[in-house]
Amino acid sequence: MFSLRQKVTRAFLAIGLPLLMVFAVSDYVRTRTALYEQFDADLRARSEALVSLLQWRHDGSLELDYHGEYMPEYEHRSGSYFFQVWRGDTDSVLERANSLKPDNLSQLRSRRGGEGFVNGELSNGTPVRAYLVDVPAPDHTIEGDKSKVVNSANVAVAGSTAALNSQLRRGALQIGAGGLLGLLLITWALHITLASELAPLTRASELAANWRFPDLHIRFDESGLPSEIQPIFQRMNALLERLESSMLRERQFSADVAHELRTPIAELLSLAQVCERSKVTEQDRGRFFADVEHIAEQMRRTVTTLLELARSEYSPAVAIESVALKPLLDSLCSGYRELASKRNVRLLQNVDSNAQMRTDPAVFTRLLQLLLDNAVMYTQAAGSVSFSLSGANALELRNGPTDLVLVDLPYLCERFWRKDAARTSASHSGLGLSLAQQLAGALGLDIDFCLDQKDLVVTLFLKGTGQIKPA
Amino acid sequence: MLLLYIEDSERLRRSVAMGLRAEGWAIDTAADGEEGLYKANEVAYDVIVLDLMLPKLDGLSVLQRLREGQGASRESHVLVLSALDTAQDKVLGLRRGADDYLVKPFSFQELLARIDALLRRAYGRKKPILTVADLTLDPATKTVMRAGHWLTLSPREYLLLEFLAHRSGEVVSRREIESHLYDENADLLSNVVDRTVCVLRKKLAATADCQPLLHTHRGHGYRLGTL
Repeated sequence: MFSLRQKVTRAFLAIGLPLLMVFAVSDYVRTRTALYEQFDADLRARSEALVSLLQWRHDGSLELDYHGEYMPEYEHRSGSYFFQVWRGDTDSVLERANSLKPDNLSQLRSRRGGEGFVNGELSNGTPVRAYLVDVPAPDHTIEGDKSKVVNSANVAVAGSTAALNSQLRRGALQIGAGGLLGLLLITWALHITLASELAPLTRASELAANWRFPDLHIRFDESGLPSEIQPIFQRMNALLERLESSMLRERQFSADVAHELRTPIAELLSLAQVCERSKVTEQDRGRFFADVEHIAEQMRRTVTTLLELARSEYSPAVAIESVALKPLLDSLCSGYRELASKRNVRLLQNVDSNAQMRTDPAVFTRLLQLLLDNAVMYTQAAGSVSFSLSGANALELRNGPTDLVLVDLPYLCERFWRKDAARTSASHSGLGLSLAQQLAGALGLDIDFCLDQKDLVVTLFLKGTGQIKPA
Repeated sequence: MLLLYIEDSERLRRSVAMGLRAEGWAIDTAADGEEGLYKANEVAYDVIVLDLMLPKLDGLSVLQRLREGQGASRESHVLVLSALDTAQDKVLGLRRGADDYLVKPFSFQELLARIDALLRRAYGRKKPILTVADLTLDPATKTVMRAGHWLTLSPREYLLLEFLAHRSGEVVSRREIESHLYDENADLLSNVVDRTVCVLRKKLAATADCQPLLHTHRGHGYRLGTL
């Protein structure tokens, strides 16, 4: 499997290499054409110079007014320019550069078949390019010996292309090597740049690869990530956070359940075993039995609430009838007066004596009992608990001060949740508000929990089956 | 042997402490993490039994602070006794420095056996039976035999003998004996250790030809062992 960096580099090379070759070849061809045009122009000029030196005499003979000292490049045996003038009719050579000897350029003309440029090779292997010109004799009356008459002359000027070819080869090599080096440098720079730019992605990838469940506290570093990828990791971080939160809640729930159910059993077992093993006094024995009774009562409450919760999950049938609120609340409050007084909590209710609603009296009473029980138990000393109507369709239960804070609110109705994480108090198991919420749902009531400074305000919004109707 | 039991359930704390006292242990108790950590820092306990879900300071934090601190019980063996039963909870507890982990509900006998095992580790022993010359103690059954004769000891006498047997050959000061054998509830008289030693010395003379095993080093303390 290739990395993103490798893939991009390979793609770049796959596109870049052919492009480089096209550019290199076209550059070479352009240079070569230009050099040859220059070379050809030079040959053409030289040939014109030679042609201008041709002189036809009155007797029809031809003479080349050539003096080697003025054109030394033709005189050296190792020269790189050559010329030859020969009769067009007999092919007999009239003049030839010293540098050309012993070669003959007339063969090139027969190969070319007329005027123009032609490439060839001298006998010593020197590559040459020649320009061939046909020069007709001027149209005038010929006097004297007809055998001397030259009807036309052929002029060939050639130049060695060895240097030019060598220059072109060097150029081609430079273009190829330079291009290749450039490509390699760009590829290297691209590789390095990609590595640097993709470093955050690489880190995130390594983090993901090394992640092991259930280690959920890891988070991907979103800084420096490309904008196309950033949303993916943002979403992954958000999901991880939710997953971690769920896992923590699940673990907390398991721990809470374990504590609520195991601790009373441990207490019972310990009491029984210690009582059996050790010599206990009558006083201790009496206290042991009292403890057993308390534990049994605590477990009975927990089991009852759990069963109620289970039953309420299956939408229990409700029998709707008209219920007078004040007598109901009076009756409920009277049952909690002693506890409230013991805890130094005032119990108030400000509901109109004529207020009534349509609901299931048994379920609604249980719902209010759970809320009131919770309110009385968790209101701090010298606080108060009060029922009141809020608007036309809401019943409000306010208790405070409490030790709740805003972050506790989402957990209030979670099963086994308790503000006291150590769960030291044995009076509640953390199921009451959860059951209250279930029962409110069964009655079609919305229940809302909010904090007003240190007061917890529970509001029952009556809709559907129930409605407060002040008489 | 002195043990600290940190547990927020009052009923469990009371019954377990009563059971352990009946087995001869000296027990201090604490109802929350802060109190437990304070006591552990003040007194060198042989074993600490620690609940995890505690008010004020949770058990894992107590454990961590105990191990990282310079308190008197920083090297004490800790048995975690908790309702949290997942492997993760156990691993976390043991990694934080607990020496053993027992899940609630538990058998009281198992708790005793585990505490005994921790005590053996505390004194660097592997064998469950303590032997000093011809004296043999079985901490599991709390029985003592000397020269083939069973000795009848009170729980306090047995505890003193076991403590001295754990440190046989060493001179143990009266102060050390007091701090390891008597808990915070004990109302110590100045000569309570001397009187117990005196009674124990008489009981250790099982037969007329028995060599004395319990020696007094005046001004220093007591030593169990042959001369």
